[in-house]
Amino acid sequence: MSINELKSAWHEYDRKLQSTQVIHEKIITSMIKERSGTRFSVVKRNYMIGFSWMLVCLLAGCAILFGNPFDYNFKLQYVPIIIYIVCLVILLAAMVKHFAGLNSITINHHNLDVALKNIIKIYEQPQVFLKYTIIVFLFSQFILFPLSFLPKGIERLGLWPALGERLIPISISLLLFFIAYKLGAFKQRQVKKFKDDLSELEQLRAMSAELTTENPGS
Amino acid sequence: MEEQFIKMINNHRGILYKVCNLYARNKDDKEDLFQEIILQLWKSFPNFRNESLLSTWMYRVALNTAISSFRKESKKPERQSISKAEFQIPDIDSFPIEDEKRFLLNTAIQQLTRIEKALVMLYLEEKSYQEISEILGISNSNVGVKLNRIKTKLEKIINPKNYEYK
Repeated sequence: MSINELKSAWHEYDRKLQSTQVIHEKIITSMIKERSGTRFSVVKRNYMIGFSWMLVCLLAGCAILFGNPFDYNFKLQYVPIIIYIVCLVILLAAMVKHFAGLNSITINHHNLDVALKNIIKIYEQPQVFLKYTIIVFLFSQFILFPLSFLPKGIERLGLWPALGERLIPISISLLLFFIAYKLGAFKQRQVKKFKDDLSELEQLRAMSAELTTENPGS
Repeated sequence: MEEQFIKMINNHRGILYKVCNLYARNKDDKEDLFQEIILQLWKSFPNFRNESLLSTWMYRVALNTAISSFRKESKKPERQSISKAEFQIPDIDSFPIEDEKRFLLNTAIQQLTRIEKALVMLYLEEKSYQEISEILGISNSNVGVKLNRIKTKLEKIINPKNYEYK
C-alpha cells in the first residue's frame, strides 16, 4: 500500500462520514446551551465561589478593622488584621489575573502555535510570590492574631500567665493544621496537581517545539 | 444565527468526526471532544468574518481544541445526558472500507504524535501548504519539511518490509 492509496482510503472514509445521518438540530442546540456541565463552566463556577468567599472574608476583615469588635487599644494590635486584608487582596488580585488569563486563551481565533504558546504562558506564571503570601497569611492568622489579644490578658493576668494563655489558641491552630497536613489535606492534592501541571507543561512545550523547530537536516 | 450555525455544522460534520476519531480513543472521549469543539466553534462563530475559508476556520478550531484538550482530561465534570444519549460519532471501524486499508489507516494514525496527526490529516485532505501553515501557524517551508518527514514515517508504517534491512 502506498501513501496515495492511504489518501484514497481517507477520501473514501471522508465520503462515508459526510453521507452519515445529519446531526439533529436539538442535539447541537443542547450542546451549545447546556453549558453547566462543560469543563470551562465548572472552572468558572469554582472561581466564582472562590471570589465570593474571599470577598466575604475581605469584608469581615474590613469590618474588624473599622468596627473594632475586639476593643483593641493599641495600633499594633491591628497588625494581624491588616496583614490578613493585604494578603487577601493580593490573593484575590492573583486569582482575578489567573482567571482573566484562562479566559483569554482564545484557541478559536489563533493558529495552533499561538494557542499553545498562550497556554504555556499561563502555566509559567510565577507562583513563588503567591506561596510566600499564603505563608505570611497563615502565620498572621495562627500566631499574630491570637497574640493581638495579649494586652488584655496582661492587664488581667500579668505577662507570663497571659502569654501562656495565648499559647492555647496558637497550639490548637497549629495542631489542627498539623493534623490536616498529616492527613494529606494539603500535601497530596497539591503535589499531585503540581506534578500534573508540570507534566502537562512539558507536553505542551514538546508540542510547541515540535511545531516550530525546523528539521536540522533540511 | 443559531440556524446558520447548525447548518454549517451539518455541512462540515465530517471534519468534526474525523478530528474526534483521530484524537480520542474511546466513545466517551470522542463525544466529549465533539461537544468541546462545538462549544468552541459556537463561541467564535460571531467573530468569523470570512477572512479565511469556513473549512479552514473549522479545522483550526477543531484541531486547536483537540490538541490542547488533553490537559483537561483529568478534570472532567459530570457528563451531559440528553445530547449524549441520542448522539453517536461514526467510528472508522463501522465503515465498510477494505479491512487492510482500515487496519493501515488505524495503525498509521495510532503511531503519530498529536502534531503529526494534524499535519497528516490536512495532507490527506489535500490542503495547500498555505492553508496548513495558516491553521498550524508554521511557515510554508516548515510545512514541507515536516510533511516529508511524516510521509517517510508513514511509508515505514504501511510498508514495514521495505525498511526492515535499511
